[in-house]
Amino acid sequence: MNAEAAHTFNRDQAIRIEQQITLRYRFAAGAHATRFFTALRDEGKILATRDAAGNVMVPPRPVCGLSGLPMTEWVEVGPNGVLAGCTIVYVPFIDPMTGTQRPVPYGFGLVRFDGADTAIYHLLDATDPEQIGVGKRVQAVFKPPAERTGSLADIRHFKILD
Amino acid sequence: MSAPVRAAIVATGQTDHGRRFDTSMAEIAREAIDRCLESRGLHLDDIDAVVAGNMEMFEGIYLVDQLFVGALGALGKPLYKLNTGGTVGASTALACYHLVASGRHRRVLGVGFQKQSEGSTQAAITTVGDPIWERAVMAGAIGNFAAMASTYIADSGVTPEQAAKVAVKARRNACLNPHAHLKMPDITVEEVLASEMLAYPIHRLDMCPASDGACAIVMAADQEAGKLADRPAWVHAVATAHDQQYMGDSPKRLAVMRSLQAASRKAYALAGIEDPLRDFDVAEVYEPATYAELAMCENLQFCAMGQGGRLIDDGVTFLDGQLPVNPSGGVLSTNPVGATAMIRVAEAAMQVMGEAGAHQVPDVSRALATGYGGNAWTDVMILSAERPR
Amino acid sequence: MAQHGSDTWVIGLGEARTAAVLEDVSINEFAWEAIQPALREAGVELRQVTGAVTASQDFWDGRTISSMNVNEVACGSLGSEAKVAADGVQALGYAAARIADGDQHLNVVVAHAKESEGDAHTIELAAFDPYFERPLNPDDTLVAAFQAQALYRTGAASPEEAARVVVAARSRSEVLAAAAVEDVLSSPLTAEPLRELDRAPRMNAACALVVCDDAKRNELERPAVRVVATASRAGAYWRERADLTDMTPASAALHDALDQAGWALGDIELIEIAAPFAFQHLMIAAALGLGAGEQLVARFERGEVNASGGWLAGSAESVAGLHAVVFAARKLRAGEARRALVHATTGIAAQSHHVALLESAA
Repeated sequence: MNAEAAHTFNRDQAIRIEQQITLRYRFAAGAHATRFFTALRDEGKILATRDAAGNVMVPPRPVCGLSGLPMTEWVEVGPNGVLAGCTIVYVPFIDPMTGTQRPVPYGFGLVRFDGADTAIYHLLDATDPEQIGVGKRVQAVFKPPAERTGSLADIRHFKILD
Repeated sequence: MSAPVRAAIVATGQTDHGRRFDTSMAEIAREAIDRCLESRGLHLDDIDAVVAGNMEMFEGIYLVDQLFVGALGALGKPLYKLNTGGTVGASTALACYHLVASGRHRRVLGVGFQKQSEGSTQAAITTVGDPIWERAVMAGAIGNFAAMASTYIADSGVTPEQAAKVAVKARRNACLNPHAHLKMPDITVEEVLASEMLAYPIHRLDMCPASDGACAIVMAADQEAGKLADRPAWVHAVATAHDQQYMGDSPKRLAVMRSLQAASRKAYALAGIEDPLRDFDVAEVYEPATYAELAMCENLQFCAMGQGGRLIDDGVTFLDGQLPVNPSGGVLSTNPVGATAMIRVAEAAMQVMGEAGAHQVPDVSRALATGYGGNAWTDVMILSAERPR
Repeated sequence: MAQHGSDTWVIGLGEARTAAVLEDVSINEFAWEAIQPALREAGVELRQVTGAVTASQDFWDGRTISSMNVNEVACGSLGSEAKVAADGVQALGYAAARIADGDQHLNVVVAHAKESEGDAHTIELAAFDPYFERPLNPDDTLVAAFQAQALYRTGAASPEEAARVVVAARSRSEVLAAAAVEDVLSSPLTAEPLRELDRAPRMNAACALVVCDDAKRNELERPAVRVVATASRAGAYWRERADLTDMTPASAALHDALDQAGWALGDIELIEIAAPFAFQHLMIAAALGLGAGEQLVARFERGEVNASGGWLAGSAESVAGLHAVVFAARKLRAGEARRALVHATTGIAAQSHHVALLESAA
């Protein structure tokens, strides 16, 4: 249909078919994630992998893309860190884990754990939005051990340290 | 070392981007393809191979290239399907280039298409996140770009007003582009800053839309190019760089755009670009948000690091500036994700070929096109009116 | 068309474990399991690899931009990773183009799929026309059943002959148990006339190549196999095919590749065909000119076609063709054959086809 026809096309004429496909997956977390999330859940520890060049990466992984070297050492990092990036989100977004809207506003940011070269995205405690800023020191706030399931959500959020 | 067959873009075609309830996916792809071929009196029989780009999770169609093989003009031909995210349109253009430059084919059709109105953009973007490491805490494209923007603001001191100027430039340029989705002739900095705050510091008008649209190009080999177009857009360089695996692996995500630096440096070296501000006459960069364009200008070496705000304050990147950036209106005006990076390439080619109409920059000899997407991935293509030696 | 630019050489081969379920590896670890041995064979480290071409399907990975699962282990950070959403055989073709034009010199080609992690029926359903077909809840098996019926009606093949192809494949498999014809013919019906064992089982599979240009090959001095030609042809969507048994795109791809190579089919000793259903092997092999009827089935049984056992012996979507490249390249390197043809198919009911021709270096 050319542009002319498109402009005269009456929107009420358009037939649109509603369809939903439910795709279910069973992802294997793998060796590195299993070790990381087990430590997170059972010990409240944050682990990273390190290569011979001294790169320390979270999430842990078999090989470092920067050096090309295997990441054979495991080290503990955090639980404090630095905000590399941050925002307060006002627009509602469907939480993929619950299928419902996450209450807004909430804090969201890039956290680089002490000792790590990379950062991870996570939620931020937005009780006092003025406190949130790049460079601020943050601390992981864990869920109580009984509530942890071995996922990133075992950390409830990061709070800004004074 | 092999010398490539010289290759040029000889034709482009785009749909009228926007909310296109009047077309199906097949029709929207075909609209771009038909316009592209008809512009040079070409037929599908003239095409040796087809490369298609579309992010299938958006509309929810697996093997979308196989379903729409007829509409894509690929029946009985070699057909390649790519899905590299935001960069896919550029990856598609690069694949067209390689298929010609390798001597494999003479005329290759590339098409990027997407109908974001037909799917759940949020759901698709959620699946960009790693299911184990990232999905549980994602905040969509907007949360991601906002957090990225904060890294850039912290390093550069760029202001919301400077970012808003990018939005003003884009939406006003779009008024000169018949294909663009969002056109706002009267938009002002104040209006941008007053628009709804989505995620600090990103206002609604700082952010790109979700569009339906398609874009097609024909890439032709040396001897063919001169016959098909009066002023082919010769490919002088291509480069791709994909950053590490996870979203936080490059913590200064927007301040220091590692993959953009790596890809552009490689491309500049190949094309003999020493001073991008001077050597390019126009640039079409993939800016998903206002702050991103300023950061990209720095990382592309249009100015020194930290000076992106100053660059736009000085008007350098406006249509009448020294180096117009996104005269088409950019991603901020039009964003059908499977096509968006192809549109950058096509618009850069149109500028070289002198076919950009009302948004044509005068006397374009060299143009830059970039694609951005995924986890800070970059594609770069440099086009020139001069055949490479 | 004459060969332009540098040749492409395969100098490293690697495979991950092939199994129905592998829960100790994420996709990225799984791909690394295939890439590491390939790098070792090639005598190179990851940091020397400047680019990659990956093959994967977003729907199978449950991830938009599925190649994000593997780009870091394929060519490190800031590498020039490209991809195709098709079998790895086509990825190899694209890699060869980037070497021929001088853009790349040393690349990884890797294909992966963890078929246990997704729901095959729903994923395949998503490949169907949303307006006319999805409401009927089809999948590839349903259309393959139409295709098998059509084939059997022509008399060109029978369910028993298809079963013999399964038996031959499983007898060569390192991961699947052997089966007898009766086992195949008595396995549960999936869609008449197809039975469970008529199709390759869903598996987790990944394999990788290290490929390079002439200069790197001379520098590294590894045993090498030359990629002589690659070709692809897209077929019509199943509903628009008057004859579902028409495999013209397969023969067209083959002839394109043979023309590029300047070979005749009879010049090739090692032949591998990758398709998900047993009967499709007979259909495709016939279209490629490999024989017909009893004589053709016997070729499968003797291992003249699919000496590896192919997809039916254990592989996965996007991987099966590249798996066959790994097998063929090993044989060529060992001097057991000089030339190989590897075929793979993508799409509902073997819609599109890819071919690669390989030759040993000596």
